[in-house]
Amino acid sequence: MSRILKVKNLEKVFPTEKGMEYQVLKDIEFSVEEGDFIAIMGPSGSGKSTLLYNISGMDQPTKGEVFLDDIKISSLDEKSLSDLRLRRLGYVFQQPNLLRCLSVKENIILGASLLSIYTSEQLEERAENFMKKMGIEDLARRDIHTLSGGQAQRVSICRSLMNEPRMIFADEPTGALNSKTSQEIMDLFVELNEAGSTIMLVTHDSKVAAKASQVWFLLDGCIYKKVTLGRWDKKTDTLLTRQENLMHLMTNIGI
Amino acid sequence: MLKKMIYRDLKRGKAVSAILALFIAISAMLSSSATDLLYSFFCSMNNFFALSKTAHLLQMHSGPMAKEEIEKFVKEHEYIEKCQIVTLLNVEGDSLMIDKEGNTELGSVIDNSFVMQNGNFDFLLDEKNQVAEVSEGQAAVPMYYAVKYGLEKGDTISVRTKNGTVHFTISAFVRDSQMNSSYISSKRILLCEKDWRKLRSLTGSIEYIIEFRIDDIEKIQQLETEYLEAGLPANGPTLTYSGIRLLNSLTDVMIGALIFLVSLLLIMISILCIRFTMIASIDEDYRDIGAMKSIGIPVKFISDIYMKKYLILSIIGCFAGYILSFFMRGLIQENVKVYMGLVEKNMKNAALQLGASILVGSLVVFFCTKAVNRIQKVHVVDVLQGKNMKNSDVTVHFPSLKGRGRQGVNIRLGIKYMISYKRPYVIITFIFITLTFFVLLPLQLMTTIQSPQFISYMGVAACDVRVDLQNANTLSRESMTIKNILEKDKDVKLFEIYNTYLAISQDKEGEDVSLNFETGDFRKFPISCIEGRAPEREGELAISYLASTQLNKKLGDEIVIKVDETSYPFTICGIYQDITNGGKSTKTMVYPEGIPPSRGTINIHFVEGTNILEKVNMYGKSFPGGKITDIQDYVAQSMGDFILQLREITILTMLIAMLIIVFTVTVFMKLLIIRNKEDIGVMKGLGFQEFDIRVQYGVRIFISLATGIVIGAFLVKIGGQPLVGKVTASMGAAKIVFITNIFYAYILCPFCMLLAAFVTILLASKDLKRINMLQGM
Repeated sequence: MSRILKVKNLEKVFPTEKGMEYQVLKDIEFSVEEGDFIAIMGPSGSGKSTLLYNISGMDQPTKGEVFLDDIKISSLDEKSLSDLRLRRLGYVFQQPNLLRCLSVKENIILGASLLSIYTSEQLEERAENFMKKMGIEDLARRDIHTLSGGQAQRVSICRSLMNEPRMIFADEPTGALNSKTSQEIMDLFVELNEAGSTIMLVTHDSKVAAKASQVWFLLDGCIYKKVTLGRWDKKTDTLLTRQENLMHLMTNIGI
Repeated sequence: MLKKMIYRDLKRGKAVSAILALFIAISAMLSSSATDLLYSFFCSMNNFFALSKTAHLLQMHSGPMAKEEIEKFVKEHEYIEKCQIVTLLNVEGDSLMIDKEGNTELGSVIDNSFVMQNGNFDFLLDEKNQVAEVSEGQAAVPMYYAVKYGLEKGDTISVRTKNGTVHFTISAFVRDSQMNSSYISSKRILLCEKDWRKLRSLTGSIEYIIEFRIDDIEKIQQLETEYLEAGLPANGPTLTYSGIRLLNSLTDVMIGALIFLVSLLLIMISILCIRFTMIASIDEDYRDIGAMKSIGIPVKFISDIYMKKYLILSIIGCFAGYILSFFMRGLIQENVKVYMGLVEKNMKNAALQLGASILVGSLVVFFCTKAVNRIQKVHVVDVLQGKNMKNSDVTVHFPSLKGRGRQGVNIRLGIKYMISYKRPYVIITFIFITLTFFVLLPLQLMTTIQSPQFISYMGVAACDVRVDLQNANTLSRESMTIKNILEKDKDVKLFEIYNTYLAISQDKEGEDVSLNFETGDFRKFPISCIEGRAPEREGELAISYLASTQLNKKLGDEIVIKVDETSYPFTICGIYQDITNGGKSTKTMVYPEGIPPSRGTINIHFVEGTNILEKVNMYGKSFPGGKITDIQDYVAQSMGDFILQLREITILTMLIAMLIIVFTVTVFMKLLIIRNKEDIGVMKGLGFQEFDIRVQYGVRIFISLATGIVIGAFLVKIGGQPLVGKVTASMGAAKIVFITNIFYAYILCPFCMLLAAFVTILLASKDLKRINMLQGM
C-alpha cells in the first residue's frame, strides 16, 4: 500500500475579534495509507473539523505542509485547489448541501460534469450505478426538498464518488441522522472502503467511529492517541464490543 | 434594540444601501428640478409676454398693403384694442453677414428681416427685458444668433447693398416673443429708424405683419375668421397667441417633460430595486424572522426593521436630491434665462421643489410597504421544520445538465438558477426593457429625421435643390428668369416650377379653412403619400393630412377649393404628410389663371456627379430674389436644432441607461450572491472556480438584458411609432415610420448596454471571493 496523504507540522491559528490569536491545531504530523478508513474523534472545540478542512484543500493551514500523492496542497493557489477538489477528492458533510434547483441525479453528476473525461452517457451510467449501490435508484428525478435526511445524505455520498476520488473526507456525515440511518450510512462507507476507497471522517459518535479501521483522538488541537481497530467485518465483529472499547479509551483520555 | 438592528442592517449592506439612496436622490433631484423648471418657465414666459406685449393675432403679408381698409376693420370691431402694421425689410441670405467670420447667410433657411422698434406692442426686449433701443450705426440682433454664433456686443453685422456693404455694431441682443423659437424660421434684427430707412433705400424687399391685440383672448378665433372674410391683406401665414406660446414653450416644456420622464423611470427603478432588496433580505433572514415570530415578537416590530431602514434611506435620498436640485438650476434653466429672462425665485419655487422631492420619497415608501407584507408569509412551523420559503428555489428539470463541457454546464446551471428563482430576473428584465425603450425612442426619432427619406414628411418632393420665391410682386418675372437660366444649364436634368396660392375650402360646418394651394406637374417630382398617390391629371388633388382631418375628407371624396373668387372642384387622389407652413396644403395640376401666386418653388434635379454646393453658390448669385436650398441641407437646417437636441437627449439617455445598468446590476449581483452564498460555497467545495460561478451570473444577467433589449426594441417599433405619431400629428405628420439605423439601434446601443453590464458583472462578482466554501458546508 502506498502513502496517499502526508501532513507535517500543521498549525492553524484564527484571529479573534479582539485582535488576539487562537491556535486550533498544534504541530500535527501524520500520514494516511491508501485504503485506510480513519475516524477522528474528540470533544467539541478540539479541532476535528478544522483538521479535516486543512488537510483536504478546503482551507489553508497557517503553518506546515500537506502532501496529497506528493502534491504539496498547502501551497497551492485557489484555482489549483479547486481543480484538486474536483479531480481527486470527495466530500461528505453533516448537511448534504445539495443544490435546490437541481434534481437528485443532476446533483450527483454536477461536479463530474465539469470534467471532460466522461461522456454524458458515461456520467449518467456512473450516477445510476452509484444510486443503485446506495439504494436510491428510484429517486433520480426527485426534487431535493422531498428527500428525507438519509436519502439526501446518500445523494451526497454518490456525488462525492462520481470523480473516482483518491480520498473521501466526511465531516460528521451522520450528525443530522437518526441512529438507524446513521448505521446504514456507515455500512455504505465500509463497503466503499472495502472496494478500495480511502476514507477519513470526523465524528463525535463512538458507534459510528467503531466501524472505522482506525480511530484518532484529537485533544486541544493535537492528535492525542491513535487506535487501530482493524477492518470491520460484520460477520465476525460485534459493533457493541468495538464501541465499548472506544468508550473505555475515551473515559481514560477524559473525553 | 430596533435602532441597533437597523444600524447593523445598513452597515451590513453598505454598497446596496448607498446605491439605493443615490437612486432616490437622483430621482428626487430630477423631479424637483423639472418642477422648478416648468414653474419658472411659465412664470418667466408670462412675465416676458407681458413686458413685450405680445400680439394676440398676427398675419404675415407680402404684397400691396391696404392700410385704410385695415384701419376701418379695426374701427368696426370694438373688441380689437390695438392694431399695428409692422414693416419687415427682408434681406436675402447672400447679402447678410452675421457670424464673426463674415460668412453670408446663403443657404440658411432662416428669413432675416430688419425692423424698427414697435410703438404700441410686440416690443423687442433687450437682455434686461427692457424695450430695446438702438442708436445710429447699431443693431440689436436676436438672441438666437448670439447663441448660434457666440456673438458679443461690439461685434459687427454687415449687409451687402447696391452701394457697397453697410456695417452695424451689435449693441444688444433682443428677445423676440414672436420669433424667439429656433422652430420659427424668421428672425427680426432691430435698427433705428434712420438706419432702417437708409437700408430700405439700398436693398431688400418689404413684407408686413399685421398685428392685433384684443380685449378678450377667447375671441382670437373670431378675429381670425372675420379678418379673412373681410378680404384684407393675408398673403402669408397666420399665427395666434396660443401658437406663439406653444412655439416658445416647445424646447423647455420638452426638456421639462423629458426630465420628468427620466425621473419617473428612476423612481420606478428605485422602487423595483428596493422591493427586490427587501424581498432578498426577508428571504435571507427567513429563519431569523421565523425565530422572532416563534417567540412572540409582533409582525409590526419585525416589519419596522425593514421599513424604517428604507424610510431612513428615502429621507436621506430626498433631502440630498432636494439640495442637489438647486445646483441643477443653472444647467437646465439656461435656455429660459437666455431667451426670456428668468423671473426672480421666491419661496413658492423652493416649496414646489421640496414637494416634488417628498412625493418621490412617499412613492418609494408606499411601494415598500407592499413588499414588507412578505413577512406575514413566513410560517413558524415551516421554519422550525427547516423548510424553505414557499415559491422560492424550485427544482428545475429543463434544461438538463446533461452534456459535456465546463462552460456548457455553467450556462445551463445559470439558466436553471434563473428559472428556479425568477422574481429578480423578471424585475431586472423589466428594468432593461424600460431602459431600451427610453434609449431607442429618441435614437429612432433622430435617425428618422436625419434620414434622406424624412423629406417626405415635410410635404416636399425629393430633389437636389429647391428655389423658394417669396416675393409675390416679382415672382412671375423671377420665375421666367430662372427658367431661362435652368434651361441653358447642361447640368440640370429636370426642373419644375410650382406656384402656391392662398385658397379656401369649407369644413362640414361651413366654416372657412385656409389652405396653401400648390400647383405644378407632380409627375416630375412626386411626393410620397400615406394614402393614394400624387395628382396625375387635372381634377385630381392631393391633400395634406392636417387639412384632410380638419375638412373631414377621405381618399376619393369630392372637394371644392376657392382661389380668389374662382371655385375648382376636385377628387382627392392622395393624402400626404406635411409639417411645413402650418401643415394645411393641397397639390394639384390646375393653374388658376389671372391670379398672382403668393409664392413659388422650383425643384431641380441635376445630372449625376454635379457639385450641388457649387450650384447653390452659383445660383445664389444668379437668382437674387430666390432662396436656394440644398434639399438635404434644408432638412438639416430646418430640423437642425431639433436633431441636435435629439442627439443630446439620445447620448444623455444612453449614459443614464448605462449608469442605471451599472447600479442595478451591482445591486442585483450583490443581493443574489448573498442570497445564494450557501450554494456558491457548495459549488466551490465541489471544485467550481470563481470564473465558473461568474459565468453563471453573467449568463443570468445577459439573458435578462438581451430579453430586455429585444422586447424594448420591439416595443419601440410597435408602440414608439404611434406614440411619436400622436405628437407629430398636431404638426401634420400622423404616420411616422421609423427609419432605423441598424448599426446605432441594434449594434452600438445594445453593445454599450451589454458592455456596461459585462464590466459591472466583473466588478460586482468580486464579492464571490468573500464567499467561503465552508459557508456552504
